[in-house]
Amino acid sequence: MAYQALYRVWRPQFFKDMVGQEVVTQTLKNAIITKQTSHAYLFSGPRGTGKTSVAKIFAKALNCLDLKDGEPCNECINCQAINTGTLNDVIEIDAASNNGVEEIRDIRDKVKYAPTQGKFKVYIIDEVHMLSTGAFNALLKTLEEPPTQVVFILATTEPQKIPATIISRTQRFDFKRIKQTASLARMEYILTEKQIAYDQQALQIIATAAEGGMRDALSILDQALSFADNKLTLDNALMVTGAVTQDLLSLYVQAVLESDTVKGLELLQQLLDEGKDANRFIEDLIGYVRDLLLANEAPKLVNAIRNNDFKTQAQTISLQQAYTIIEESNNVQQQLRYTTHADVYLEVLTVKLCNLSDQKVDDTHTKQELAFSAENLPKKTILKQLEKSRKDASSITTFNAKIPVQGTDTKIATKGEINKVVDDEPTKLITKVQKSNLVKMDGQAVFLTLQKATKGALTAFNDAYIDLLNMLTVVQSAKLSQAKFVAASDQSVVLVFKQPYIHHLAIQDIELQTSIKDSLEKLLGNEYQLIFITEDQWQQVRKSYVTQLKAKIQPDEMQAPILAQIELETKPQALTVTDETEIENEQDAINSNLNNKQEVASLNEAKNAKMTDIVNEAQTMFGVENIEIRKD
Amino acid sequence: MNFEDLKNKLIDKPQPIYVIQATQSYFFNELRETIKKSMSIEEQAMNFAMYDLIETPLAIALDDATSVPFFGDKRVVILDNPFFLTNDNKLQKITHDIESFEKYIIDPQTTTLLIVFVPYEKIDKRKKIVKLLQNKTQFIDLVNISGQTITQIVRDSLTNFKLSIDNNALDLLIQRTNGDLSNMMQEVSKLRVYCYGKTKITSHDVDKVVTKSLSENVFDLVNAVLANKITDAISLYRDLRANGEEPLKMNALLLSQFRLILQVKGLITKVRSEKELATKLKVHPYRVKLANKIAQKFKFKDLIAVYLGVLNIELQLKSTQRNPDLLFELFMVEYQKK
Repeated sequence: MAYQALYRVWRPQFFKDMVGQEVVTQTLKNAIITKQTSHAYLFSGPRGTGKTSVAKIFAKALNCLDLKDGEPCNECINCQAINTGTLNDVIEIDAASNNGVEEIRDIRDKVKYAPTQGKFKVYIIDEVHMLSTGAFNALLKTLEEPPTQVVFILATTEPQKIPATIISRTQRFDFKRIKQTASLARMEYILTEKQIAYDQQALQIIATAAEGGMRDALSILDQALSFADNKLTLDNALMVTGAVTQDLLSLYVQAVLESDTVKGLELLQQLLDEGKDANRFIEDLIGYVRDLLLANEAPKLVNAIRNNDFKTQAQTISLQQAYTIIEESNNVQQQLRYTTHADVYLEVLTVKLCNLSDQKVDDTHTKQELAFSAENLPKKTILKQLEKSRKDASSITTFNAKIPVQGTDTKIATKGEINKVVDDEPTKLITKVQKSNLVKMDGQAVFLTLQKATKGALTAFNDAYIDLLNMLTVVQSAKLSQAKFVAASDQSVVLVFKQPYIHHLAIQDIELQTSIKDSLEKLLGNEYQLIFITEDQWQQVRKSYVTQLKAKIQPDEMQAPILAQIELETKPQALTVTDETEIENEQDAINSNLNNKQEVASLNEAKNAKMTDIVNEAQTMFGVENIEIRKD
Repeated sequence: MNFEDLKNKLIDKPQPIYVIQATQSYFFNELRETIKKSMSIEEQAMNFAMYDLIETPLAIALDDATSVPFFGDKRVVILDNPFFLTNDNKLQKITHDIESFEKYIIDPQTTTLLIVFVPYEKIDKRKKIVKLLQNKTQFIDLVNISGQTITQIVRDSLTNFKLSIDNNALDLLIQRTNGDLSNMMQEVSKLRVYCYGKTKITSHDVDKVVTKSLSENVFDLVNAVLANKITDAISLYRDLRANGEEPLKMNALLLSQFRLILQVKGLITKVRSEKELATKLKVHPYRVKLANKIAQKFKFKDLIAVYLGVLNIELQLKSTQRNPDLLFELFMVEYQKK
């Protein structure tokens, strides 16, 4: 005999065999016992819940010659005839293919004749929702006043498609989806009967995959059994229920979560190579992520197999991530309709998904960077800094007010203070504006150059000076025209600018610095560290160097002076990017700041001539007319 | 008049003409069946006739009514759908000879029992024929039967089988069947069989046996959503989908239910009674009562959040190709988080 599918072999033959439909079977059994059968029944419920099986058992029970407690005997002639489908009085009609008025009229005409062999004529109309409107109306008349000894059983998966007039003339039974425990028990029973060893976990997986349909469960079981004789293993069950794909899918999601684009693409390729349809892949992906979402809230509803990978992912994935993956996948799913190159879309999707979390990280990174960079300093920070410098300045004022009492020692200290105050904030800003390290401008660098300086190197630079100017653009060479090389080693060169303003422009101009560096490299065949200082600074450094050299201080112990870098103007410049009004405030602040310094400077001037430097510097920066020198 | 009395009267000593106005088709079916049962099969074939006045001209029916019974002592003629008693002219496909009907009412055939089934809530009382029927015939109004009468009918039908039903079970039955008597009696016959061997029908039995309507299911869904029972809500949704319900339809029902709850929540303090609100909102008082019960349990904010969430599902359903189940599940997860 040819192989018969499990669900056919094990189609229930008694009411008691029915799984998970106790209410229905109980009622029908009672109806048979009490002979209170209705003339029309409507069985509704999802597929694989036993509608047709119950209809057949009921037909047998109605016609059985040897009823036992409402159950058919399955042995009498009538039962046997129904089992083999040869009893003329039980008529099974598939409404899906016999949906016209003609077929129903045919029934209506034949309904009149009394049953031949059985006690009842039973019409089982399967998939009754497929009938046409005309056919329904034709059926209506028959259902309304059927001859006695005729029973109609209508079965459908979609009761809401049945006209209300039909429903109201039938006794309706709702078949429920079969609970996992029930279908599990049934499968266990079947396997025990067949004497097949089984893995409990495997059955569990099959029961979950069947989603409440007994036929589905048995079909899957059948498939799993076909892999290995007389044994149901976990592996086979996993294979049949598509868990293998889930594993790949799980890895894919893992790759997405870890932003591993390469791995993601590899896995995608692997899935596609296995012949997975692009649409199906997207659906599975969405389904899997949905399961991840549900895993925490409603674990019972998860379709996926909940292995360890699944559980960890469910815990790590954020709500937002899950939503984004679903969102993006969904978009691609729509696009797939219009393309013949599904693979490309999937690959793009993969890259996109893998970069989702990257983007997020990037965003925060840049945000942090921006927060630190001067160009984008938020107003508040700037104001705070200004506030601070103002405070510093005023503290100096108060401090200086005590100077006369404290005597001469304080002078130098004050000088240092001022220098510090003067270049503290601005230089910080400058260094941040300049991302490049092309140019140095501190005393230490000059010292290092001086220690290694050679006359030859300097001559070489001076010789190359004209060529250098020629290699630069007009604007660039103009900036450099007033500058000269003062010292050079084989690693670095000191360039002195006569005007502090030009010096300031030069250290701002990264393009210029690059050009100089490149040109020098071309001309002299070496990469040099550039050091830009002003004339005043140069004097200061050289003086300090000479003094220390004379004092026979070892080169590595030499202390380079802190250069008085009056770069106040860089602040407004850097800020032009941000806000106009800001600059005004800034200017005011600086002015007041400066006024304070001014006062400080003036205070000290009488005692220390050096202090005039600051006044001079201030004058060069803000113009003589802007600075009021007070002597008190 | 009691329905049982009416049945007995019709069989025993009927008047020549009865007009029965009712909206529950159960009454018509029951009367028809009772009369038929009182006749032998031969009599049924010869002396029983039912005419649908939408399709059959009145003249033919009257012809039948005026003729003497064959081989028997009475003839039964039932007229169904007498649309000419109403204002509604849409049903008018054929013209009826009203005049001869008037004549017949004044002078009926004594051997014939003529019954007119009026399945309409309102008839035009200004019409001459209506006035005539009301004055000259047994005019029985079963439109405004009270809930009590209905429950009595249900109880009576069960007593015949030595069964009783407790109040909770009866309430549940009425709720599930929307108070429709025909539907209720169908379910009662099922219950009766299910509870064979028992003496009492409990609400537990009703819950198991009686079919839930879609709106009933949606009502449960509303409760599950509001109570944040994510597992219940989603599995119920899946069950309904497995039964082939249209997502858009379910969503529309959900939306209308939430809207009603919101309306009740906002307006209940501004009216005197639930009934008044029901008239103003033009919905059934029972729905307002249920909505109010729910509205009291939840905060405005939550109700609004759910309403907007469901509204969003509707938008997505109509403007995208997204999977409806997924949309609902995402909504539930999102709502849960709030």
